Amino acid sequence: MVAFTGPGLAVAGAAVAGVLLMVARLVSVLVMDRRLLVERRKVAEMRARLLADERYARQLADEARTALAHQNERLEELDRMKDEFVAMVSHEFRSPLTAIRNYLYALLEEEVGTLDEPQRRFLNIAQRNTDRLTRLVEDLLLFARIQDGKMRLTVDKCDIGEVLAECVESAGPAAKYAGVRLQRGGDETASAVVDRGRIGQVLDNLISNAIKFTPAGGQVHVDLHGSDDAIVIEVSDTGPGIAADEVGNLFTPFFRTRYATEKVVPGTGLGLAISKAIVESHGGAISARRRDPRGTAFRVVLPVIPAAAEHNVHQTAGATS
Amino acid sequence: MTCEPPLILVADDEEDVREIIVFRLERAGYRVICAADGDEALAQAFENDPDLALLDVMMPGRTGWEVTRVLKDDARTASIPVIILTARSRDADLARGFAAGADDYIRKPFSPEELGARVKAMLMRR
Repeated sequence: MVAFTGPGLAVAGAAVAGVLLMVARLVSVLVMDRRLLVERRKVAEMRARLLADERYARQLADEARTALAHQNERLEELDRMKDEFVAMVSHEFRSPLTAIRNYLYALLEEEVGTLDEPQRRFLNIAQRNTDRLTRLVEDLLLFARIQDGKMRLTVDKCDIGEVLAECVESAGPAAKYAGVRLQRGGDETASAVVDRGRIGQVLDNLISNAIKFTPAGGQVHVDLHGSDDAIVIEVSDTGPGIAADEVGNLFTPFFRTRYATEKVVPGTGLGLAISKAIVESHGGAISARRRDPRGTAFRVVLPVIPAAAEHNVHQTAGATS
Repeated sequence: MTCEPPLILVADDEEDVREIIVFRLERAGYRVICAADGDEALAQAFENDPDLALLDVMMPGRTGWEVTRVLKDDARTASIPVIILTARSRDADLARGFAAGADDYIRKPFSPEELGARVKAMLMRR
């Protein structure tokens, strides 16, 4: 081994140290570089994996979107089919009913020959049942439209007192036939913005129900009260009343009370469900309660101007100012 | 010319319905011609120039709406009033009838009184 001394030695030592330092740096750089390379490869791999994941996610999203679009198309198609079906059914029922009704009329008016009493009686029965069937078909079709959310109101300012008077008058013969006294009380007039035809339908329904369920000798009372913002109509009867456990179901479609089923009172169980839908679409409310000691009272509350239909009001009538 | 009773065209593919309408209208003193589908209705209208046309909507071939449109678009037949007979009841269906140019409509199942009243009103309006 050779030993160096003196200043030359110091210079050489520094040079060696410098070289060593450079080597060390080089080594460390190389090592770092290697590490970086590894890191970079890892990053690249991760990126590739992420890209693949993203592609997969996009593909899934695309597939889901396509599936949804298909499903949507199918639902729209089904909706169209249902509409077409209802239209077809209404045609298939209403045309024969038109024929039956008109031929019966010609016979009953003795336009094609005179009738003896049994013939007239039988034809009257046929006519009554035709009317019943007609109402049933109309109820079913209206109910289908309500369920689809397709019932439209044509509102206008009108006198509910007048509508009520018409309903009471047209129920007169049925009340007389049933031996039920039909009375009206409260306000004579009370105006509100409503779909006149539909509200008439609700009142017809409540009054004819009341008559149907009231035994001979009983009475049906119709009451009207108007105020600045609401109108209250109450139809009460002295019938058997509704069992406590059945009151809650009265407005359920197709629901029939045990009494109605036992006594075979005609009806579809749709009248009250339809009435409820009509009243509620006016922004009103309908309810039933048991009366003391017997009977039932139905109450309809209608806003004087239906909130939901306000813009409609101006469109159809401009009735409010 | 002379006071010949008005001539009414009745188009309905259902024979039973057609027959009772014809019976009712003839009983009321009108003269009646018939058609069982849309094309026949058009031919009858152009040939006989009726005073009123009663057209059912759902007929084979051309519907009542289509017949109405053709009649109203042709100068020779544009003045014939049209009443649409319809078993449909949706507002959209009625709007379609009026858009085609119909003057009035009667919903099935109609009563004999309603048919008579609407026909009379339409003829008087002319």
